[in-house]
Amino acid sequence: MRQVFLKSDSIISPMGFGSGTNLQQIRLQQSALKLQKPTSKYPSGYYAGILDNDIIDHSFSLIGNCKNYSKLEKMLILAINDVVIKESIDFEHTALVIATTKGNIDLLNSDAFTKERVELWKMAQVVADFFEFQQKPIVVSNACISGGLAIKTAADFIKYGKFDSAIVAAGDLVSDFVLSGFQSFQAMSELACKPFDARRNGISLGEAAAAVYLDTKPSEDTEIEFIHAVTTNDANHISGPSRDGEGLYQAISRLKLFTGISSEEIDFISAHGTATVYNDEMEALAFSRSQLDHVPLHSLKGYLGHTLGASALIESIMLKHGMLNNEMLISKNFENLGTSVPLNITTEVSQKELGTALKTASGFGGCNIAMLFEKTEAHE
Amino acid sequence: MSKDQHIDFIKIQNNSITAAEGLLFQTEKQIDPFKFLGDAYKFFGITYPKFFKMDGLSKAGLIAAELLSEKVSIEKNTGLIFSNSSSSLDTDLRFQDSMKSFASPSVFVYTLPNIVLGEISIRHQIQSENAFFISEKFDPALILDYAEIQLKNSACENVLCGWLNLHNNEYDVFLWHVAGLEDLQSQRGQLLKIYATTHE
Repeated sequence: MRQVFLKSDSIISPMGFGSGTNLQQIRLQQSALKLQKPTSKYPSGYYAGILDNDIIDHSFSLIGNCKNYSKLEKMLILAINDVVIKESIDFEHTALVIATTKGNIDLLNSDAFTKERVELWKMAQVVADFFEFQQKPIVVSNACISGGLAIKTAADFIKYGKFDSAIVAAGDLVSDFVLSGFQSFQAMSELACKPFDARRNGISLGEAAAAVYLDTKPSEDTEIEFIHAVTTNDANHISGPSRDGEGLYQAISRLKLFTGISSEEIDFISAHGTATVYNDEMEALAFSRSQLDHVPLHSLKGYLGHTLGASALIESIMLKHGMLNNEMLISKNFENLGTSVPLNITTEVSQKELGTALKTASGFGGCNIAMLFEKTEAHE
Repeated sequence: MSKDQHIDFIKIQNNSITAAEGLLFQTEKQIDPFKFLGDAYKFFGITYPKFFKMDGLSKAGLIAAELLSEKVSIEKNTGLIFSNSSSSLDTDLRFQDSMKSFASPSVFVYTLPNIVLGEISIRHQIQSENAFFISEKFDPALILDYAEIQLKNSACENVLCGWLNLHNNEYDVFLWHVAGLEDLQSQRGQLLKIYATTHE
């Protein structure tokens, strides 16, 4: 079986452009989440991470015509471009896999672009055409596991030879559409979200794009390999997680079964941790049932907010850097444990040999994903 | 067409529902496609009260999966690999409309294409692999290639595959069942033909 490695990557977020900048901001305990204007449902305002158009255009104008692309397209192109300039990409054969939940949803009922532009496949094609990718882009839209499922899709196809390399990109916006939706659910936190905390009270939304290059060629340096991923469905409820964490537990169990890895061998978990009352409790139960309650764990939602279809990709990229640096990033805004079973949440910067790590995510429609990454030591 | 008979499929197009053996249900073309699905639900005697709360994509997917489940095994380890062109656009427009007065959470939850996978999973108690892809046109190779890998990885035992699109009030639904790897290979090259064949 071919190996798949996570090569160059980039994150375009309100905290900055590039994975290194975002990582540095996280180390400094900065956050993209800022207080937004009050609404009827949130009279004291709410927190969200929103990327300024002028900042995007400032960077984008160096590589393209700002008027020809939507906000999300520009963010995706900037992320991919960052990867492209670090790698020698064969645009004839390299696949492009794009994950998004809502794509150009801000263009719905807008005349700024053709009507077609709100279609996810069209947005992906526009991004692919910018770089002249010759393969038709593959679009994954599977709620909040999309970014992780896009890595799995690309890696599965690479392992079985459909293509040799891929750029996986993901992005989502904080649109009026999505804000209204989560407000209607009363699922948003008035404070910046507090994953796994006793006082958590909902999500904070964030917008971001990210990209990573996957290929099969091992380098001489220490690097991170994608091992395997499993998805499951809760078969329980379309808008709420299962109360006992069964779906996520099944995903983790099957991942362990297929890879032969044991709970003791997992050094770190990058959790989903949206900071809704039910989600975080569900995750805690799933980790506890998987005998992973002692394993250091974080949620990065306190930095960037919930970036929906981009979140699992961004968090996988951050996990990669954490593993390479043997660095456990702090789970921001966590103070006191607020789940019914114990978890080992990272509250201070600490170093630990991180050889094997788990990334999980869950989403509407009852979907869950569990992904395994391993460090491959430098070759002699 | 006898060669195609072994593919178990359900097709919903132009207010008619067809299977390998032929036409199963049809109404006049003028009937609103949402009423058509309600009529089909009653005609087939499906009893699932939640049906009437669902959006169009989920209703169509649920009916098609229900009809297939009478012929093939849809169980805990059935993978669900679906695709469409317009994502949840039909429901997106409805939600956008509701935002003017009262943004409806029960509409918002359907503004994701993969919700139908959740609905089918709940109905048939499936807890297996899920994936929803978006492509401009029906691309059976993408779905089969992904399904093949999941079967080879033993991630699922069989697969319910689907093209499930709703755009401009028009359904284009084609669900089919892959019993295993051998079945999958025999389907390659046939699906586009079956999908394009109209039963009139």
